[in-house]
Amino acid sequence: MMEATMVDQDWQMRARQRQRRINTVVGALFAVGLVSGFLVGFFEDDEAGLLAANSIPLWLAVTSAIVFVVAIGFGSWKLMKVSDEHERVIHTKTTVVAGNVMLIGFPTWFILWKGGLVPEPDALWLFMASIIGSVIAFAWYKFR
Amino acid sequence: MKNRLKVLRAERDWSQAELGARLDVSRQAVNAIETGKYDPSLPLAFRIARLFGMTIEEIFDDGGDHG
Repeated sequence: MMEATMVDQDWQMRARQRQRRINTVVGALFAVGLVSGFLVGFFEDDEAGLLAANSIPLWLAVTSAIVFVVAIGFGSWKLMKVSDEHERVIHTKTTVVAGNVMLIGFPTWFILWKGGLVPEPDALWLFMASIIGSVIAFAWYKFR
Repeated sequence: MKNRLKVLRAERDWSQAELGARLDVSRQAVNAIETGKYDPSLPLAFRIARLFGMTIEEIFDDGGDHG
């Protein structure tokens, strides 16, 4: 009985440790994004507008870009290390969906723009569409 | 791919979370394997077989002719 109890505690502890490792990586990435977003918002020129060029200081733009690339690069690698193989497959499929939204979305939008049907392709909208596509794909593969 | 994972797990009175922890995978991974939505890699299939003291073929059935 005592042995069985110890085994129970052991698997529960391992499950908690596993989830904690994933939460730590996701939490760290979220914190970096939060601080970065706060700094950009704090130093942004209010009169320039949200999507205007030259609306934040050069040092902040360069620092944010470097932090973003390093955090996403390292975070993605770390997340793959702490995920199990099923989650890794889901992450890979999710990334493929996001990439396909871009690869199919841009030429489609571009050709429609050439025909005068729609406004010029906008990178921000394409980026947002790929993010939404990846979130939907993640939810589908993870929870279906 | 069909498998006997759910039956084997039930025989030991393990939850999906418990089996997942014993295999070092998530509960969702166990659920996906049990319902046939995900086929485990060969290393994970070996871990599953070792955990239950069986061969991979005794747990997983790819529907092929083994004769």
